[in-house]
Amino acid sequence: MIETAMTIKPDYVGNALKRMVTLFKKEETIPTAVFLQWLEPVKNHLYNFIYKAIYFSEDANDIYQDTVMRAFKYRYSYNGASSFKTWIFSIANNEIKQYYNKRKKKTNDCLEWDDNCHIEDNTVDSRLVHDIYEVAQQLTPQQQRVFFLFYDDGFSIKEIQDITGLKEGNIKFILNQAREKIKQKLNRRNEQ
Amino acid sequence: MTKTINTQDDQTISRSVQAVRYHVPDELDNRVTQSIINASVSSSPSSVSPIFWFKFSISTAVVMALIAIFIFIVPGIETNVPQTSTNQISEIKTEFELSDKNIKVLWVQKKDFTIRRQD
Repeated sequence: MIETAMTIKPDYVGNALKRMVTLFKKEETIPTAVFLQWLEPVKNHLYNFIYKAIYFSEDANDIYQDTVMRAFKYRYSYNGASSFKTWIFSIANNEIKQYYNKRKKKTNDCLEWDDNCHIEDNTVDSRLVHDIYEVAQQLTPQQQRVFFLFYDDGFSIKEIQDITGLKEGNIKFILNQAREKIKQKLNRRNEQ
Repeated sequence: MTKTINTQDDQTISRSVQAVRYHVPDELDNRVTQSIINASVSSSPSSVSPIFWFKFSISTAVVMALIAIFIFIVPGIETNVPQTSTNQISEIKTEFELSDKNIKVLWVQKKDFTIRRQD
């Protein structure tokens, strides 16, 4: 019995020590200049997403700042498993969730959609744009985030899974629901 | 990569949604960039990250647990080993006999051996 214990002990201790050494390996942090360089092509997409996901509330500025500062603070946790854009959008998603949790419900002080907002692409039908954003306004905050991530930022279902933590089935269900609502809205408009 | 913008409807919705774009206001952009630069200057390179303390506390707990195991459990294993034939005489050192007095003397190794007289 003692002999068995003695043969196991060195391996066990050795493995434990190896694990401890790996734990204390120096963490590699992204330098500030690199972080700013990575943020540059993403920042407008990020702001655009936040602004739409909280439905044109001016709180978007605070959420954007909190998101970027949080990403900077925890940049060492970015392991490259997903793209930088996906990673920073997942932080924004959490910030927006916290924003709604604090508010408990959709804000009353958010701005209403109006036709004066700048439509960059003049080739699209402005009435259609208006209708689609009106449907988006009727979605729950979570559904809105999925909707804009998919249709506005062009993320794939897999990337939306990484960002929101939702299951593939849920994401597809949300998108189908939104699609159906838009179709119904357009049909009603055509009938009028 | 699963992507489902493939129908005509999806493309129409996507184009309509993307037609409206918002950009980071310059004032906000400058403020955020300045905050990042200030944060990077104020945090010295030798500062220890929060994850370090998490790892440190976990590994300290592991070390303490290992010490506890070696102190309390390993000695227990050694003492619990069944001892064989504790009451037997292990070795007879010397033996001699006084036949005229009917006495036989045995010198044994075991300390607690009791001498009994056999007539």
